[in-house]
Amino acid sequence: MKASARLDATFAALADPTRRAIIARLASGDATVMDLAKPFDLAQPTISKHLKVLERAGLISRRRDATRRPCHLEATALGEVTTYLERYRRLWDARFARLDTVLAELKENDR
Amino acid sequence: MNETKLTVPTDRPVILIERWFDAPRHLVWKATTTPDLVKRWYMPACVEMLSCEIDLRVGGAWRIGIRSPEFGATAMYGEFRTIEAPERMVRTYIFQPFPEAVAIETSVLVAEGARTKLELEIAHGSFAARDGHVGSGMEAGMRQAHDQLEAVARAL
Repeated sequence: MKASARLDATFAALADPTRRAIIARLASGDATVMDLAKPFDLAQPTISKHLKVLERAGLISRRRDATRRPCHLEATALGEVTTYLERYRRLWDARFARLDTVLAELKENDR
Repeated sequence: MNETKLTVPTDRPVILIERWFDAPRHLVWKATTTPDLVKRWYMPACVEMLSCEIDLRVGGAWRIGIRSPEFGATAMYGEFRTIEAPERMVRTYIFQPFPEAVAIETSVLVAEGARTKLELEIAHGSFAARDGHVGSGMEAGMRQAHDQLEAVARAL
């Protein structure tokens, strides 16, 4: 998958509040579908559907071997989103730094 | 230096940007709406700005022509929808290579003594369009960072 397409999938996966809550829960440790279904008061198939979206986006992984198949948060995918946004932020930061220079001059002339 | 705050909410396809400037509001308004001044800060040095036109009235057009390494000669353009000088402005934003992705930029300047806070909201029609916008910015930003690194390396 191209980096931009993967990020689209990641952003889309994170657009849902339940999925964000699942991510938050998994940040504190691996959990099974049953563990996740309890606090969210959602049926297991609903949780499973959300997990599939998260898995496709590369945000979580599930072990094939274990019968309970605990979900694991893939920190790298989340980190990629953060890096992506940080670069975009720096673009604006540099733009505003140049604007600061222009403003300093205008202030001089305004006196 | 004042920090640039960027928020990309997951529930709405918008980009929120916040930044303080150590200048009074009328000067920030002037620097962001006067073509000769905008030319000096809007694009990084590695992108050549070919033209900058701003017809500052409701329904008036704005257009910034650039030459970029990946798109060649292209432009950003749009139309002013609201102008409440020196406080608030709403305009459409279109990047010529993707004319179907029309974003709406709302900028608010909050005056606090000799300082001014810019609150900018860039609203997109879809999450895909919003994320694409962030993505194109990322690529330009990376290139800029590389150019700057090269310049530093040459100076050593």
